[in-house]
Amino acid sequence: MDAPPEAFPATLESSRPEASDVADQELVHRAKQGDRGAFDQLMLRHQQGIISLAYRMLGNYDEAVELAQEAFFRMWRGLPCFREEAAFRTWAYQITLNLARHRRRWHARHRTARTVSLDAPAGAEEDDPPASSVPDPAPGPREEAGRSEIQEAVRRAVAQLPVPLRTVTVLRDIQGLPYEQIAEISEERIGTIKSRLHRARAILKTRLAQVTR
Amino acid sequence: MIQDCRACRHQLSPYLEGELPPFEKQAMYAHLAACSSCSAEFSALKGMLVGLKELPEPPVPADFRQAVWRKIDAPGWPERLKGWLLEPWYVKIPAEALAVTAVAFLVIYVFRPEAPPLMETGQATFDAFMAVPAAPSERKQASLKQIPISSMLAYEKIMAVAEASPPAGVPVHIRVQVENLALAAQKVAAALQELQPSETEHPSPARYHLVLPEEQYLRLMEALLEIGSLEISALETTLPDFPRLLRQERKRSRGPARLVVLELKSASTSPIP
Repeated sequence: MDAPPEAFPATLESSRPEASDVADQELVHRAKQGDRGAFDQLMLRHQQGIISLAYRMLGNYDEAVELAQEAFFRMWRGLPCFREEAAFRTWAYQITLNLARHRRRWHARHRTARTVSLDAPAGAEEDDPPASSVPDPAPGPREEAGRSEIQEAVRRAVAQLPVPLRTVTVLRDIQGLPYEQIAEISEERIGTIKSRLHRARAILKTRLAQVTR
Repeated sequence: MIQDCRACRHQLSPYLEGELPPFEKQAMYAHLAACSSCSAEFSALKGMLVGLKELPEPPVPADFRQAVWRKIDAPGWPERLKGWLLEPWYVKIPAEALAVTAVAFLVIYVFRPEAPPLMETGQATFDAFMAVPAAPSERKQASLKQIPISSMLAYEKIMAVAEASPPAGVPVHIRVQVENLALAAQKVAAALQELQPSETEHPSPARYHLVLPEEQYLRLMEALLEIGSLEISALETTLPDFPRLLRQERKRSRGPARLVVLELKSASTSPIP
């Protein structure tokens, strides 16, 4: 009999280095005094996470970059009102998610005739990001092609989740944030976050199983 | 022990997160060890989470932070508005002053109060108005407006007369204060000859009982204003024949009629010969 499958550790660790909230606090304090260098450092530490979050929520790279710039612009302008004891990343992600929500609503109001790309797979939603919208950082050899297809399937499956489920999936399963911080960002209870996460995973698993069959 | 695979699969994600209580966690562990199907599902879930973690991140553009600083340092809307309005000042300020002046003139021209009709026509006559059928009150008002411009004073007086007169159909008592009774009597006779009321009684040298169409009433007033100052009131008692005469006049002229008792009163004591 095979050995029983081991559960993962209780909390999934992010594979990328976490920005230290303590270091952020010092930079925020200096930025509030008008130190542009300190704010530049904050941008350097969080730009990847913000752009990634924006991209996962909007599904379009160019829009995600523009939205991320707008988010940092609002952070700079909003620094005088920011409480230094709060985590900068929480605040930054909140701003980004709010902007993404407004952008999606704007698109929904101004949506014109539905267009379907001949290249899109059957059943794809109208706002599915095109496969080429994200430049492939590592166009590897042929044996990477299959992996790339799976990643594209995963990316598309995430993009097709309803926004509340997509948000927790991006923050938890992609960006690896702890539940407490996700709850703060979303302004929801931890129980709600967990419930949404489990539902999202079940949906993703089902969809990916259909795709990979 | 969990027998139901459906229940097990429902708990796979919480189990993975370490959220199950110890008893349930043990039960899951045991089930997964025994059930290859659920075990495969569990592996698929783990694989999916690994796949999510390994999704390539969108790259950060090289000039991302510079673009943010450009946005931060760009002038705000008050400065942009100021620039749009005032720069270059030697072009914008004169052009805007001219535009504001033009708009002001346009507004004044469009909303200017209209001149009364007699200012524009100046030539309409009383008789021309009389030919136009209209409601009595409108006729009255229109007739006042059609007085030739040279008679502005008379126009104002007739306005006052019209305002003071009782409504059409109500008998009117008019007292005319004159300097010379004899002369006034002559003028009244001349006016009545022109107006040709349907009924005229002349019970005394200074008293007249008249029945005439409403439209001739103001003409009579106009004539009387030239004779003396008028005192107008509703007749308190009607004469016995007046109702019959009124009906006859209405039938004849096909419009409202006036019963007028006209009295000439002298400021001096000279009698009418």
